[in-house]
Amino acid sequence: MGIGLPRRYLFLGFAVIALLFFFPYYAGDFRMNQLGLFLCFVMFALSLDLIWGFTGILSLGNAVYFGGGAYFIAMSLKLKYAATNPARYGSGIPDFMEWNGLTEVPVWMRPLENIWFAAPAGVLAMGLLAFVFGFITFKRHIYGVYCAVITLAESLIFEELIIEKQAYTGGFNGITDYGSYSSNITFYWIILAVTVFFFWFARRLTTSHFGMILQSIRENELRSEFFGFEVANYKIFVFTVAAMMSAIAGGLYAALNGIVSHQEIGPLLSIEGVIWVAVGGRGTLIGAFVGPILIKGAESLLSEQFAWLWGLLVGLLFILVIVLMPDGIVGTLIRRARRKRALAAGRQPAYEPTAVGVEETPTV
Amino acid sequence: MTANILEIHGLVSVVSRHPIINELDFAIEEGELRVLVGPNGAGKTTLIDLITGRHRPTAGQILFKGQRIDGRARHEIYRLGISRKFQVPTVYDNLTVFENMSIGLRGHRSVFSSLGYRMTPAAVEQIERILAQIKLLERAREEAFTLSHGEKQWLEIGMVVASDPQLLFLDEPTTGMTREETNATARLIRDIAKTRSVMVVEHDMSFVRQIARTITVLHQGRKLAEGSVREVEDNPKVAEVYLGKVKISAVS
Repeated sequence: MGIGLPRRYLFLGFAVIALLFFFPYYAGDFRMNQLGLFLCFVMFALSLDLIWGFTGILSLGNAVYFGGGAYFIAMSLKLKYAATNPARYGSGIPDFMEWNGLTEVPVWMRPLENIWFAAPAGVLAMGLLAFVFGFITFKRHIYGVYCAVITLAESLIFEELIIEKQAYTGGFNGITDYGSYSSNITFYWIILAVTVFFFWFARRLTTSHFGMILQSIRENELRSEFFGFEVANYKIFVFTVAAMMSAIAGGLYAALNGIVSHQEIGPLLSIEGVIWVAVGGRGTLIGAFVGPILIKGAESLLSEQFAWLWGLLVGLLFILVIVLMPDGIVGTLIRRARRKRALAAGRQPAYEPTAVGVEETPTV
Repeated sequence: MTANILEIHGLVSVVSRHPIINELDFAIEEGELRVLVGPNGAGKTTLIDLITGRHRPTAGQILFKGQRIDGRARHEIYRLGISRKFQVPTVYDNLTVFENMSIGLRGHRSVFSSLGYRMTPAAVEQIERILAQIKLLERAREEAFTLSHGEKQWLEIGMVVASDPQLLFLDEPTTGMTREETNATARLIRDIAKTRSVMVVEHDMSFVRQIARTITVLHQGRKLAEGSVREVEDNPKVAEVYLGKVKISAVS
């Protein structure tokens, strides 16, 4: 498949995929639904890892695209659901529209009723939004902490917009009650398949020459500019691609969860994503899998055991990982393995010149 | 008569009302190896910054092969054939030596051309040839942060050579090197300069003597003197500028 992984990692990868594939058979519906949602978060973390871990852009607004994608799908399902299951007043429009005095679905929203239009439209709209936002930000050489602040503001604006425009968005309550795809094993497998595809795609992208350039921008933007790269274009590209990945993840999330709210679009999820990536390991794709699964998993298990203490415990876990492993769990493991190998060989294995194939280093 | 690859007319750069470069006229001939010296704050690095597009000049003109380049974007200036090595060795620490070189290699600068790019055997060979030249071939697979200061200097020189510029700026390429490494660097630079124009900023006079044909002395943003090593060393104005710090001919 040309993703340059050593055989034992590929084997491990397939084992994990098989484990996830058969998970519903031994864990039951509740855990299956939960894992499905976690996988959506994994995809979200993966997209954030591409822009933060590999390109060095700290975005605190990545949830805008996740939430945006989620709202498109939720709205589509809701319109459809309302048409066939009339709400209390029997008008066939979504309940929150009724509550806010609308008598019919606004014309511009009607095409969304068709899920086959809404799904690609959501992804493309988020891509376009990210492109415009990225163009404005990166072409003006806004980077580092300023970029973090601007993306945070982006996130706040969209959360506020969702809450304010409640006739069209369900406001503070979000969109609920639209017949989700939960407890549907086929849909779980679809999510799993998309997740695997995203990993394959991210691996291809980051190990390519293009991925090398992204990492060079993370390492030293100025140096890359003086090597003739128009850094802004690379950032806009990866920012847009990541936004579309997030939108897809968000759409799947909405369809599975059966409820979306302003939290999925605001700073809360944005920052949670940053934490997942940091805990898993920035710049390692596997970290984007480990981070959310570990933290969301711990959250869920602890909240079942310790009704009031779990938030503290998760916070403690986060602090411990960051203090003891600043590179995140996977990042630290990779570094240790590398050091061990270097010690064992006196140095790293000497490079053997070859004009045939290019060695790709395992970035995992 | 050879043509000038670079011409600078009346260049001024003012930073918070301080003139860093002051009405400077300057030229480099095609194929020339030029050395730029001057005390701290003379404006040496600023001059490179202005030429390569890091800063915009306040006034004046910069011409590369007869074409105005002042005020143009950094990547555009690079694409015309101008590369630079930074004063502090600037390599990509977490990429391997080989990957660093592949970033430097000329070609495939735009997003879409780099997306589809796969390295050819010829490109690998070229990188290996340069790596052999800078004595880093055996360490090609190691991350750049494992290199010593001097090795990083070499790696960055290797990267800019891989970018195959027509005009190359080397800002203090021997800082942090041992005497032997410095001598090797002098040989390397003479070699590089065979096929392109090079300007080197340097303090180390024994190194300068090894490579220089023409020296330009910069002082307070102006050209103080220009000529052969001997002429510059014997220039009383130059001695005066360096007096109280180090006498120019005494440094070695």
